[in-house]
Amino acid sequence: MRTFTTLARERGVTTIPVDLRQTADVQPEAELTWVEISPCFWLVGPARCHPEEVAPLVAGALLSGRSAFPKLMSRLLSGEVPQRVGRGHKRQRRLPPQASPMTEEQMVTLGATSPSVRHRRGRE
Amino acid sequence: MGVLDDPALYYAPPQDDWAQGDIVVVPTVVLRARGERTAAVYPQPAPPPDGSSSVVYDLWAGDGPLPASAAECWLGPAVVVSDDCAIDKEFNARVDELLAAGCAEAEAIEVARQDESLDRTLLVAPVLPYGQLRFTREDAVRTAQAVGYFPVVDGPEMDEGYVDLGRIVPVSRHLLFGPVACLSEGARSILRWKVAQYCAARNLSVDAQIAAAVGRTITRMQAVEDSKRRLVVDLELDGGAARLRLRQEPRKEEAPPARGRGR
Repeated sequence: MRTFTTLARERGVTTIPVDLRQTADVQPEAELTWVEISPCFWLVGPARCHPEEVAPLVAGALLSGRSAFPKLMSRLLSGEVPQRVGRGHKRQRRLPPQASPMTEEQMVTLGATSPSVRHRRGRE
Repeated sequence: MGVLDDPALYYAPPQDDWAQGDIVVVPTVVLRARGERTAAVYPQPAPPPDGSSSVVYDLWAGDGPLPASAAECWLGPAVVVSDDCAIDKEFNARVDELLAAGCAEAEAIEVARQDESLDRTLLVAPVLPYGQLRFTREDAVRTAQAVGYFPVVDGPEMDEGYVDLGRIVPVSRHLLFGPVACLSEGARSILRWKVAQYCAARNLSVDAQIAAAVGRTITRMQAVEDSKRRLVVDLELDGGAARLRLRQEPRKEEAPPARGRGR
């Protein structure tokens, strides 16, 4: 793939590389559409070519291809992850066994620690 | 093959409602001091839902005596770590309240289900890729031996990774997306133990060592007194297959009784 580099000048003004401009027939005053794929990655092209329509595909391919969790990303992008309603519509009453109250001595014994910390970092 | 080696034993079909061990996609956060990370201009697009990058915002202006703060947020896989009873604690209390007021049980449950103010949040901990593990051996995490971590097994619906219990955060139920996958009862039991061990009871690992010695045969024993006058007993188990060291603190002399306040 051809790759070009241009400079961003004051207020973000930049130029379209001449080769790309000619190939895509971008004339003066032509509208360009910029799609934000991620904070530092944009898809740009002439507005008549609607880059925004293919942006989700590009974003999906980028995300699943680079992810440390490719199965998860693939399922998310293809809509395979089921969504449970998060408002408790299926809540059922739970009746946990009632534990008898513990004595203070029992709790002190269970929570006792051994003085095994070797170094403390301190506050500064 | 055990629970932590076999996806068929590690994962289970989802329960009817949110439960401990559900793997979801959800935002998580770490509160930082301002300047620890470069803050972004608000708003930013959502970060990718695999937790691979974050968004940082300064939280408020001001230069008072308290440290200025910032929030670093991720969107990614996380495990519900709240106990099932804690997830529905207020719901069940409300049902009991309605029953005491004379409602029939079915009606009480239905009324409580409609009340969205009950149990608004639950605790989650993010699932991270092994590449982010620091100062801990990967095999110790995979076998659930490392304190502060819980392994996520590679399965048909979820990639492998580890749960960082040091990043447990409360999140709204409304933010939970999924479940992507759900843990079996065996895996949930191990998760419960790892949460208890990390949050409150690291020294119970001593009990765990003793528990692991049950059923083995003591083949050699040596008792000495160390430099702090503690009695140390070294036990060799099963001909050297394992060892157990027990220490007894020296007996303290009784202090003279202080004045008691009385009851």
